[in-house]
Amino acid sequence: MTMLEKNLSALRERQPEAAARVERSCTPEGLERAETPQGLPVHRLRGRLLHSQRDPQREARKQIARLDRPPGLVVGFGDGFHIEALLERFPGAEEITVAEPEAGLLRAVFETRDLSRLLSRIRLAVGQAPASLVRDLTPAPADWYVHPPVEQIQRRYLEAARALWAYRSRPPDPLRILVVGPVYGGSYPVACYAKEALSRLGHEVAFADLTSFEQGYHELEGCGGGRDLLVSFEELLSRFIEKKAEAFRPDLAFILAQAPIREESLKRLKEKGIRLAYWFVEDYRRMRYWERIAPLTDVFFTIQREAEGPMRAAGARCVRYLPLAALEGFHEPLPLTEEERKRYGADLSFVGAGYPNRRNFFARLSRDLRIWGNEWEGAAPALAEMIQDQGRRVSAEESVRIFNASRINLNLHSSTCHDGVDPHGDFVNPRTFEIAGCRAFQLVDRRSLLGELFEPDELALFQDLEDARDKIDHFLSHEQERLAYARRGFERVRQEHTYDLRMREMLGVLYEQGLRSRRRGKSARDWAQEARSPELRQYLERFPADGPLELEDIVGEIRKKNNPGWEDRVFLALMAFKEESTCRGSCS
Amino acid sequence: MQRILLVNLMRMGDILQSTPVVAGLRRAYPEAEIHLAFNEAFAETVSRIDVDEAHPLPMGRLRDALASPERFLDAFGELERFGRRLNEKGPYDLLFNQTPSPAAAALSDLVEARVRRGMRLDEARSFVPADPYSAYLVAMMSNRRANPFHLVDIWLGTLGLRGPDSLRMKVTDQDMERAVDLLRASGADPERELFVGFQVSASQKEKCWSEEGFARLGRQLERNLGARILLFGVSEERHLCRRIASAVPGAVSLAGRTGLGELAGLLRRAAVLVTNDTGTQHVAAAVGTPVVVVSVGPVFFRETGPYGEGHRVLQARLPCAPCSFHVSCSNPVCKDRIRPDHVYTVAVWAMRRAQGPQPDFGPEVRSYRSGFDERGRLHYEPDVPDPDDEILRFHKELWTVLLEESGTHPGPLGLLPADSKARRRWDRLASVLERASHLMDRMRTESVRRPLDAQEWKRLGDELRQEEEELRGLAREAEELSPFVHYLFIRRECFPTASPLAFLRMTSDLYRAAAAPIVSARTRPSPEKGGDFPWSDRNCATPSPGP
Amino acid sequence: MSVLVDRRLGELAAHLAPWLDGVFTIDIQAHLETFRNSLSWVASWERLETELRSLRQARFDRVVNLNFGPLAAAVVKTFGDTSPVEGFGSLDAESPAAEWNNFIRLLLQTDRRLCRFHLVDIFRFHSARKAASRWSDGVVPSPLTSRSTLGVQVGTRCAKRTWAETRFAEVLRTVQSELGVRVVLFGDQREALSARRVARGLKAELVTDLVGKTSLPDLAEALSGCDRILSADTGTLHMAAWLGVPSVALFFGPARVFETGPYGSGHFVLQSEPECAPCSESSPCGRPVCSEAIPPTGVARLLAGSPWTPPPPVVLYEPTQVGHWLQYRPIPRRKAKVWDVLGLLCWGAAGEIFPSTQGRVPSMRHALDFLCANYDLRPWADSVQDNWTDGFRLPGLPPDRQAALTAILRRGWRELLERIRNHDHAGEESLRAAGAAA
Repeated sequence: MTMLEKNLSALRERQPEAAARVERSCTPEGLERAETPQGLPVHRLRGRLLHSQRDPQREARKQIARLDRPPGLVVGFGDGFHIEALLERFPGAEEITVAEPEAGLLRAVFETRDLSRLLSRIRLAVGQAPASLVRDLTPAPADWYVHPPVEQIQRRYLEAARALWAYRSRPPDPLRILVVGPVYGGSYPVACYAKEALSRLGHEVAFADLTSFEQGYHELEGCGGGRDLLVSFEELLSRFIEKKAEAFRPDLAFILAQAPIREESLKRLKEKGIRLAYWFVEDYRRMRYWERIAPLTDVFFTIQREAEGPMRAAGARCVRYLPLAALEGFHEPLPLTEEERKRYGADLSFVGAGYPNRRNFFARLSRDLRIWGNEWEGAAPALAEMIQDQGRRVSAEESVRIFNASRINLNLHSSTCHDGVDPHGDFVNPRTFEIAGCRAFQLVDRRSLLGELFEPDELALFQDLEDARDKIDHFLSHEQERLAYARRGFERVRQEHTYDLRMREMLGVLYEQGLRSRRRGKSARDWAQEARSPELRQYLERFPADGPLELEDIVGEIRKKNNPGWEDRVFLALMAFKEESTCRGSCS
Repeated sequence: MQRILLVNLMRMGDILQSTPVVAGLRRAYPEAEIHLAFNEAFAETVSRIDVDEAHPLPMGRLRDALASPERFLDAFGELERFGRRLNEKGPYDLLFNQTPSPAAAALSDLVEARVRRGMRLDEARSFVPADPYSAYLVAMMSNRRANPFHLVDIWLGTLGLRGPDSLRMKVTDQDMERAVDLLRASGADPERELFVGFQVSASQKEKCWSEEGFARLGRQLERNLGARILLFGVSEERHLCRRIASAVPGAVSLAGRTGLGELAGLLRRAAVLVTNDTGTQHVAAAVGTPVVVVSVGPVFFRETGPYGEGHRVLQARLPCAPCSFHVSCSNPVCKDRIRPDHVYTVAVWAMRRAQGPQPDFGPEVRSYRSGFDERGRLHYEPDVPDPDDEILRFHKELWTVLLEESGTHPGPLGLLPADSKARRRWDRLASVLERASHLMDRMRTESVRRPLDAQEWKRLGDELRQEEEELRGLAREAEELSPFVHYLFIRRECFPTASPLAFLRMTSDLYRAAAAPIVSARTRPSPEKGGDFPWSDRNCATPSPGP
Repeated sequence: MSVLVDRRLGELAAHLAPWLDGVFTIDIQAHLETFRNSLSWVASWERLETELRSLRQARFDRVVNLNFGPLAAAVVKTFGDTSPVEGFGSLDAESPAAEWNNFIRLLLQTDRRLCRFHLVDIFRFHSARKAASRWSDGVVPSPLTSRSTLGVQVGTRCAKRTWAETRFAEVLRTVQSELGVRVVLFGDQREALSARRVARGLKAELVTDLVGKTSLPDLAEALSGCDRILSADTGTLHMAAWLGVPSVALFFGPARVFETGPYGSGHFVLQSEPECAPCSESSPCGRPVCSEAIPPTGVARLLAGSPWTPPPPVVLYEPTQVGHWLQYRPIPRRKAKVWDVLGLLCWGAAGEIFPSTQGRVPSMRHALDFLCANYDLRPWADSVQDNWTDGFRLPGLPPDRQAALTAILRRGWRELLERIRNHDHAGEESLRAAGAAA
């Protein structure tokens, strides 16, 4: 039997599913194999050596010698030398968990040498997403041993894991978060999803929703008043957002790309002690306004790896890669009624705005395609008949139905400077996650960042127009394959690419930076602003408008009276609830 | 069961009648010691029955003391002592109050006991029959004509015991000697003669057969069999006895000359006792002498007749017989209907302790012979089958189902002729019960299924009240149903009311159990067929026992 | 007559007590969550205000607060001005009801073993009618047959009140194989797994698994279809009692039959009483001797309706009526522990400590009768001083009341002692007799 089989069977004995995972995987791109003078195999992944090419074992022993006790978790299997060293340094150590994000790497390593003895003494977490790793991981990052080269190779992985950990071990107090969205545009749904996810996490979320201004914005756009009108309108909206923040007094403002917020406003919010996180869900190459904003934020999140460098250079204190996701409970498989199927169903459909590359690509696709979405004005006749409902904007709910109803969802990332697939496209658009989240099948154009987000067997890719045609024809006639892809993609999204996880990670990063909820008493005015009932507003007027006012203060006042009135007694009752809420533990 | 107390504050007859209960208890709880609380006036009787400890209650003194306001404290003292004495050795494991009087119930309340049966007082000092049989006893009072059970069997049932058993009483050699001396003294030859006892008086004159009748019966017995008639009675009755004695050759009046011992001796010596409904009949039964009861006036022999096998009863066939309580009859036809030769005939068979041919006295008079049914309960089998008895037999089955068995028993209603009015009334009763229990189930289940609002609930409640009204109506209009309905109401009274839903559940179960036998009877192949009783021989074919 | 309950129970209340004219609810959970997640109280205040306003507008003639906590007290106080409040939180702390609740609370605080008042009786104190429930011993549950259905509630809300699955399984296997009864499993989603594990060993065709499938009203409906319920101290058990379904109940750990046993007749309760019982629900427990002491075989026998005397420290209790009140009597009669005596004496004392409550609570006579009838007190006769009860205090009881209590207890004890002493020399006699026999 080959070396691979030997190792696999050794692994299979203790972790059958892990073995299967490794067996399934295929060797990652950019993996080269080298040989040491002693004839030991060492690997180089994406240009990084996993071990010393001179004497990996000696190097490993030296590194491990620094540890004074066995680590709770080892990240990175490498070629396994450091693990061998670990086991001989701590022979008594009970089972050690080794996390190796890349199953493909393991496969390659297994082919090179006999690791069966080692495998019998460790537990492998193969290709486990940071989320699941952290979910069932006990030791804190302090107790991890990260195989040095992995720090670079798996940076994103480690960052995510650490951030998620930070969130998991966060202080109990929930945060008050103001989510700021755009007036309109692609980032608006993202804002909504983020808000939804954040409040699901139990935080107190307010949403600065500006869509009510959209109409006006377009008016101004169209009135030929030129740029400056719009600028002052954005200034106005920016002030509006500030006001919102003042009223709500958030611990954190989470701002989405395209939000009309000006630097001055950001500065003022900062002065109020509000942390600023910004999610730039756009192509940093096309949109450059991050240059002004990123430096003012506490954390700047991008959906592009390569953006991190330039953004730091531009003065951003902390830049983190945070890909998009799907919203659990919204992007999900739907049972469709018959007329919904008729309405939205198709062999092949596309949802999205009419960017040039798409117009061009679809026009030449020569397949029966239903196109949903807006900004398709002035499309070529060939295209025109594919466009549904005169290219009106389709709501998020509708797109979910379309994804569910279509045999194949075409997903072509937008570009203004290509006539089809962007060969160097990196970031992954929301649609990718959303379609997968619906357990729908999609054909998506290759993106450089897809590789670390999805396994090859989870998404069907196409390189170019030709490839797209073939794949379409192929998959239309192979339902089972479609379903298989859809299922695997769906599982991956549920595991790793939900807004829930993204928001945990986002907050985790901020927690790492010492973000805490600032439980400061609101003033009577704040309370009154929240209040809907006139009685309560009136009641609150008797207290000084400014300065913190806690429930306890109010009740204290009431307890001084000898015959409390109706509102007073309601407050006393409410206080009783508060007191009740603090004593826990009884299950009767 | 370690210690058991019977509270029986009644008369001699009732005390003797509790001997089967004692016997049953001894069988069921061999190790238990059995006590009896009794009216000290009957100490003599108690001394002759088999109890481990007897606690006399000075009821005479009590009554006197209570009669005079200034002496009620003495009464209190008496009771206090009585209670203390009974509680001395800690609580009884079982207390059975046989006496259906509030006083007795209150009295037994003084005694600590873990389990109480029989008549009880509840907190509100009102009468509660604590168990099905006691409830039956109370309900039955509303129409004693419909009662098929002998008091002894009701008591046995209360304690979950079973006959057959006979009355028992100690008769010593001295008793026999004294009896013999008495006979000798009155010129009789105790060894060779045939003696027939007469008890010609009773607690109330309505219960007494005619003086003339006894005299002629006596002469007939004397003439045909050379029997010597012995007339028993207390001294107040000696004139009456002498009059009869003077009318019958050789008859001897022993009125006022017999203590319980002599009476027992003489009765054992007698071949048969002819009697009104008296305590003497129980003494005779207890010493194993066959009894012939002339059942007249307000006498319910099925309830209080001689307990045991081979006793005979004569009763006039009249719509008014037996009279209901507290009627003072101006024209006691029943007494004349029963002629001396009727009595003579059954007396002869009785003293021969033989079944004999079924005597047929025509439409005027019924005659019965006592025996035990397959459940070991006393049964008076009519010598000539008649429909009224069929109905009683049906009552008996029905009550058995209700008091002892689950509602799934195949109804005995077939015993009633399919077309009879009674049958229709029972059907009506059954359907009311079913409706009522259905209503209660609805109130119960629907209220748990979907919230009923108070109005809806009240509406159902009113419907239910109507059904209950109809029940009462039925009880009023059909005498034979009234004990049945009363019984249901009494039982219901005893259910916990802590939870109305629980109460509804129990009540509707009770009603359904009550309706079931009647209903299932409807589905019987041939309603004319009778239940499978050993004594129901030629007149009704035996059907296959139900599931 | 209306009730005020937690929102989650409103529907059920309307189901199970349709004769009520109104069911008012407060969303307790929501209000608590507000503070647990330290959200703004404003919304909660407004919600609470509307919830309470309706109550206030109802202008009740009487408001009876059955709760002991400060929460309910504060709640009822809000509309107490339009309607006089009785019970805990009453504006008039001197009111009989308030005094009464206070007394109960003191008993519970001092030592739970002292409290022989059933919760329902504590509540019933407030009902205007004197004689509420009464029943005879005549109501006996019919033994299970192949036609009957046995409802089973495996889980409880507290691990310390939960009986081991394996034991449940054993019981059910036995009753199924011997009686062939149908088993219906109840519980909520959280208990689904354990219920399935319990069901594993049973005849599938004779098992209906309703765990997690029933709303509260559904549960009530399903319950009323059962002939018997087997459960620990759970809401299911009490709902069953309310519906008149006889039960076999298992009480141990923090559960006390005397406080929360199934109310009504036709129930059998196995109460495990090791030295450490009753414990508090929160305190950790290394080894639950109490629940392990209850043998499944015995439980099965009880269900089958055959007599059975449990081994110590388990005691078999049966509800019985004493006066208008419910007590649980041990079967068979057993040696009295100090808590039995003290508890029952206190039970009988209430009426005299608070004259205003007389007739609405048990009297000393009830207590003494019950004690003598159901406990063996002989060992007590000489082992204790005549005035041993004098040492007993209820911390927090007003001095005058305390004095009254002491006096009543002493009197009660004297009377009891008299009875015991009589019993005792009777006991000697029987011993002598036994000796002679030997």
